[in-house]
Amino acid sequence: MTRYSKTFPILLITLAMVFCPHGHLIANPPDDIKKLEDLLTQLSSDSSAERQASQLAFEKICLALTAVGRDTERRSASRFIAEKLNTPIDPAAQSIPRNLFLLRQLERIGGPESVPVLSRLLESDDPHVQDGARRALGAIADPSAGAALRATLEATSNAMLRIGIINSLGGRTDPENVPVLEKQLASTNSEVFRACVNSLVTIGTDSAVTAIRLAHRKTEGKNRDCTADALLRHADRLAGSGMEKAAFDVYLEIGNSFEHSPLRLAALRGQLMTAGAKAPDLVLSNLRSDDQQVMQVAIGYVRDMPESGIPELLTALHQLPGESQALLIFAFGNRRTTSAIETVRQYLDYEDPHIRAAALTAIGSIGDAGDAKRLLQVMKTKPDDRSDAVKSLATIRDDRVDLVLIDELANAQTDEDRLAFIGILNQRRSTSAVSEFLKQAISKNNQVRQRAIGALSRLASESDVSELMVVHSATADEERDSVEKAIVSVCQRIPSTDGQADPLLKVFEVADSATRVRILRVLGRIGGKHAQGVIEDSLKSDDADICDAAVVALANWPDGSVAEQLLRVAREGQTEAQRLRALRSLARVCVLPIPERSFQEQLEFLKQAMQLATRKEEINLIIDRAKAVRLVATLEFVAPYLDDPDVRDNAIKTVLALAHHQDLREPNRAEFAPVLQHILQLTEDSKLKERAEQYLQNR
Amino acid sequence: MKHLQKNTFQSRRTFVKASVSAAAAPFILRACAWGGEGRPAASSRITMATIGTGGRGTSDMRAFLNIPEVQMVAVCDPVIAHRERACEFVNQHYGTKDCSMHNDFREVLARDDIDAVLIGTPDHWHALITIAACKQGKDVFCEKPESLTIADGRAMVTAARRYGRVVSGGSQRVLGDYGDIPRLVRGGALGKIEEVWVNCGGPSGECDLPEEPVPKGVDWDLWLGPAPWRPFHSSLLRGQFRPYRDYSGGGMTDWGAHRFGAAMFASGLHETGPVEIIPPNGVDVPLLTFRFAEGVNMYHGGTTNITYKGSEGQIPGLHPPMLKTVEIEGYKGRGGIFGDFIHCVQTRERPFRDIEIAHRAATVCHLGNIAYWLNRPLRWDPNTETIIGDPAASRWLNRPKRTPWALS
Repeated sequence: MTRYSKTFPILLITLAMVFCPHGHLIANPPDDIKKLEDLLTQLSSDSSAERQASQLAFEKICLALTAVGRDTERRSASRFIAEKLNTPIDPAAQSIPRNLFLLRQLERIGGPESVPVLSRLLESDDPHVQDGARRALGAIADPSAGAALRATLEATSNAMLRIGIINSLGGRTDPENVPVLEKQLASTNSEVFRACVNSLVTIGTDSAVTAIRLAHRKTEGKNRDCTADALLRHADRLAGSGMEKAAFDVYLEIGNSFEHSPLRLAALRGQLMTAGAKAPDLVLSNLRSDDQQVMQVAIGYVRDMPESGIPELLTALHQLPGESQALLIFAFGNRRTTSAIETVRQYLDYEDPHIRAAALTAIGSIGDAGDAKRLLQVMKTKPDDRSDAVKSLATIRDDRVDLVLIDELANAQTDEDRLAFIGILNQRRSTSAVSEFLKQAISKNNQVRQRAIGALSRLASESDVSELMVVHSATADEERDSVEKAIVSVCQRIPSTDGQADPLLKVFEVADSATRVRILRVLGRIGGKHAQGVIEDSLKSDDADICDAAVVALANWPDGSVAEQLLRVAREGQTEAQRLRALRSLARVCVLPIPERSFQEQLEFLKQAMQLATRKEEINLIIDRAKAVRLVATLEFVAPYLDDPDVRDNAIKTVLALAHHQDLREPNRAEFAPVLQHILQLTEDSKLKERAEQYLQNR
Repeated sequence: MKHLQKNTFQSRRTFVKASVSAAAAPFILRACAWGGEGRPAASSRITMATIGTGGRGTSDMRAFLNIPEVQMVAVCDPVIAHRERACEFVNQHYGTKDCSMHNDFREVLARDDIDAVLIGTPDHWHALITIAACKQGKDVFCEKPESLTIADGRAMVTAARRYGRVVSGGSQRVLGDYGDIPRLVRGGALGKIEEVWVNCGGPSGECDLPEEPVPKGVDWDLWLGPAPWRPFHSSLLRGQFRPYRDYSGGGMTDWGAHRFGAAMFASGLHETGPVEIIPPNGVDVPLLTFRFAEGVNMYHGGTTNITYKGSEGQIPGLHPPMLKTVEIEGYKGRGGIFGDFIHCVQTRERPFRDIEIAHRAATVCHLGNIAYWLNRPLRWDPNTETIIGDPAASRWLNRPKRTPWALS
């Protein structure tokens, strides 16, 4: 036991040294350095690909070393890079981009060990190297990096370098940086001054803010805007840490010292946010302003203000100027303040159209079923307000409104009203309105019919399909397409693909012959295995109309699962028209992907279709569809047609489409090359020639 | 420099008209506010400038030009050819010669006749220009990814709040591409969300483009701005800056800003962040994984743009239907994310892609990048926005900027 207790920790430490926390084997540090050394040489390679690969590998090693627990190796790499930056061995290899790349690595992995070299590079003659070193130092958390930056700041007269260092010192948020930054506030260079203010407020200590305050009192113009912005940032921070009173005072000070400026508006906003119980008073005062931007600030605040302040605003609403009343009412709706509903209702009949519009809109957000009647009345009697009322009827969140609207639709006297009510109910996604939509779908008015069918398409369910077929039967041929689409859309919402046609099949079972013909048309657009059985039976029907409709259904099938049936009809169909239709459809659907069909099987269907094709239209179609079958055998199938002038153009396009797929073309170059060469001889089309050449050269 | 003179302190009446009518009747403006040509009167329009007029900036600018309430008055880019092309486009659009051109964004922000700016620069400029614009009282529409580092993003939020500005990020795809999915997911159609796969590109890396001579008409120093100095290369001006870490977070932040943003929004995580980020290790973690305290695991990868898996189903795939879904935030006004911004400039509401939400989405992408770069797990506190127990990783949160630039 004693023996194990001594050796076990050693074993653990040894294992921990071998494996990093994420299971990567830790490379031997000298190995990493050796690799970095090799990669560094390749960074100056003439080959762009080699340079890129070595950059990537170099960076990968560096970044892996930043993982927790690999500090020893990180330090080694950091020293190695620093040394390379410090020791120009080969002037050609010491190119600026290479050095910038190395500085970038130190920005990510550098530590105190790289500070001395980086400090020296702050004095580089090259401004880009100088800036790279400054950024790397800024990223190193060790205090020595901060000390190096401060020392250079005090020593240099280079304004750009000073600005960069000031930015870095701000980013480090180290209070020790405040005194040196404070001194820089005396600079006559505005950019230096503003960088200082920005860094001081980022650090944000009391002494930093005091320095900004002092500077704020003495400055003017853009510098004063900058100090004011910094004080606003300070106030935001106070407010965020619960010191609202202190924050309010700062906002007030800034607000009072600027006119017509975004700073003033930001300060006003800050005052509202930190005013507590006085915020409603402040809102009302701002809403009485003549400055529209001040009004914007107030309204913007109302949208987010606590509910506790609303009663005061409601009480004072009628005393505000008309425009402000409208804005406030609109804001109540916007924030869904239901406690304002009684007040808002009082404004529905106001003379001012803006106030009425705001009230009508707000009702849409905070009203209930009781308001629907009122809105309906407005809609019918006040043309100017109709659109606002309609919009609100569509948005009131109360399902009882649906019932009111359905009743209105049923009893509407004009088509304009019917159209409006269907639109509103559709927008409300009112499924309870479906039975009324079914009635409207056979209206005498075309627009009403179309709008009702559109709503049914969205809201009807599978239990409504039999009724939709009634609508289908009652609809003129030229409009049946939209009803069919609605039925298809309803059926496609059924989760099981095979069963999507089930509601129609139920109707089919008990339907007369004419209805069956119509149902077959729709079945073809839905597809699924259950429907296939019915189609199969219908193909054998003695009724020519049923048989024709079954062929049409197959021809419209949405996937390739009916290729067998189509092939059979193409061979054995009762009429020439059926056979031709089936052949064309076969060419279309047999290449549509279905899981159980391979490219070889698709090609086999195309070959069989080709055997049946006698006209150039179908031959062209089959050649065109062969594009989808990515096989070298497809190339062999299509190639002979290159010599047939009637179908040559399509054959060329199909060969090029196949050759476009590098993974097909390259392993089969021996087969593709002669065909592509042949195309170059056959065509005069420069674009086709260019593509053929491109594929021949494997571009 | 020619400045348009405009009294930015409009009358109370004008402001009320604009904000109430925009909010109460988003599809129409009151007749009295309209000028000729089917647009609001000139005094009621929002004057804008585009800063960064490369491909994406110009594309966004065209979207704003189509909003009648907007008057684009200036364009700015350190590449003369870019700003001249943009200026010509604006002038052709309005049939005038009023649009002014600037090299330096500070000239634009100093103009008191400009209400809002569109920032379409490369990512490394987004934070500094946004913050400076807020200080000058401008509202900001900033293209995504909204930040280059996490500290940049937080500073943007703070400036927006301090100065009460409307600052919208620029991902139109959160709602635009994914339709009703956020509504379904938040409405509980999938039950409790457990896993989300988000597909987008990988992280950026070091730039090693060779040196080319700086052509005439390019202010290379200003293009680089806060990014570390490097020699000129023309491809960086042609929008091909994304693979390089000094200017962008790569595909991870480019499409990640859209798709992680959408996934977080749909999962209701858009105002928080993960607590652990684990890079793939080839053993038991196949994909970069973000663990959220709310019990959701989000992965970088997958076979679709975004896949949601909940306790009762998944999207894309089988899930129970849900017709009556929850109401979620959407664009206000009209005209997608651009119209949403303009509406909010008028009403002072928070835009759909408010900068806080944009920052949270970008933060996930940045953390993913840091985990990839360092190839080790990170622990993250989304409240204090700090990495826990890894000082070297923390250096990546706020990369130092080139002199004289700094966050303020």
